[in-house]
Amino acid sequence: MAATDESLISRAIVDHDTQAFDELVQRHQSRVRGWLRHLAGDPALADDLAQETFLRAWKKIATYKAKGSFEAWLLTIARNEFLQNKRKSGRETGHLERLQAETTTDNSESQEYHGEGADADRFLEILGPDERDIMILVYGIGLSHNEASHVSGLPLGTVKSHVRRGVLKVREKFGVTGR
Amino acid sequence: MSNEIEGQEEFAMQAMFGREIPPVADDGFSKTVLVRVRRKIWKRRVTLLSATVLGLVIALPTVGQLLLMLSNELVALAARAETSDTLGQLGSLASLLPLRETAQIASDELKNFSAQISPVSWYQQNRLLVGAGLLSLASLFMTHILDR
Repeated sequence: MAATDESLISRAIVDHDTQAFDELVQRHQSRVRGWLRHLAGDPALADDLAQETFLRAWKKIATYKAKGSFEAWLLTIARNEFLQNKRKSGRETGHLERLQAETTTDNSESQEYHGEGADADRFLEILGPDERDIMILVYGIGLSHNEASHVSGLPLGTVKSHVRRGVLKVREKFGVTGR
Repeated sequence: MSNEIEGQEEFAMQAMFGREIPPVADDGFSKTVLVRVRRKIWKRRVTLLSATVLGLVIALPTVGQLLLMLSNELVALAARAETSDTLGQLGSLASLLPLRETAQIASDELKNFSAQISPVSWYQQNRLLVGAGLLSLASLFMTHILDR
């Protein structure tokens, strides 16, 4: 039987067991890299940030409190790494720029988009930047609202209303009613 | 029925948003992380060891000097205590006087004795040395804490 995250974490903390940490990296690298690719919009940069995320996680692993999942903790570090990198480099590309471009999308484009029907690749465009991140964290990654609140840095109430609004928008535009 | 629809909607949402975070193959990623983690551990060990050795090299003469000075002071104090034979006098007094008066005399004697030691003046004379010694000991302690 595979060891649980908790037992691997405890081995990493108590025995400084790098093999246990390696197992944790293997388990969670996909989600962390995927999340950073979504945030950064650049796979190479995302992978660099993912490496920094895991190095930081190793350094800070003793501070991990099992309040939420280990994955949520990692995603929080990943988001902080992304924000730190953005501040450092002063880059206006990536997530922020894409988000800004999307918020200036005018109504006619939305109408046109609506007229084209449910294009699965563009369905995220109907959501605001925060709504999109929250919906991905909750539905794409499967975090609880509480964990999504920690990862995004948004209050729990805001997360819940983003989810509610996001669901309504998706339902309205694409008729996701489970038919 | 409503629950079934909600469940299907949840499933559809998961499928839609799950596509935004597609699985990423490891492709040596975890190996790279592990190599970097191990390199970091070694770097830290080497840095701490070098810092400890350097700290000891700097601190040893000062700590040695401090210990020598303290031992000289203690020897001098012991010699003074022996010549004044305070304890012997107190012992004979205790057999003659009630306990309360003996305690009072002992307390006065102790005050006189500590006045002879005068730690304040000793500290003022050797302030830098004491500071250096304490810092050296603190740095060793800090190194130990950091390593943990």
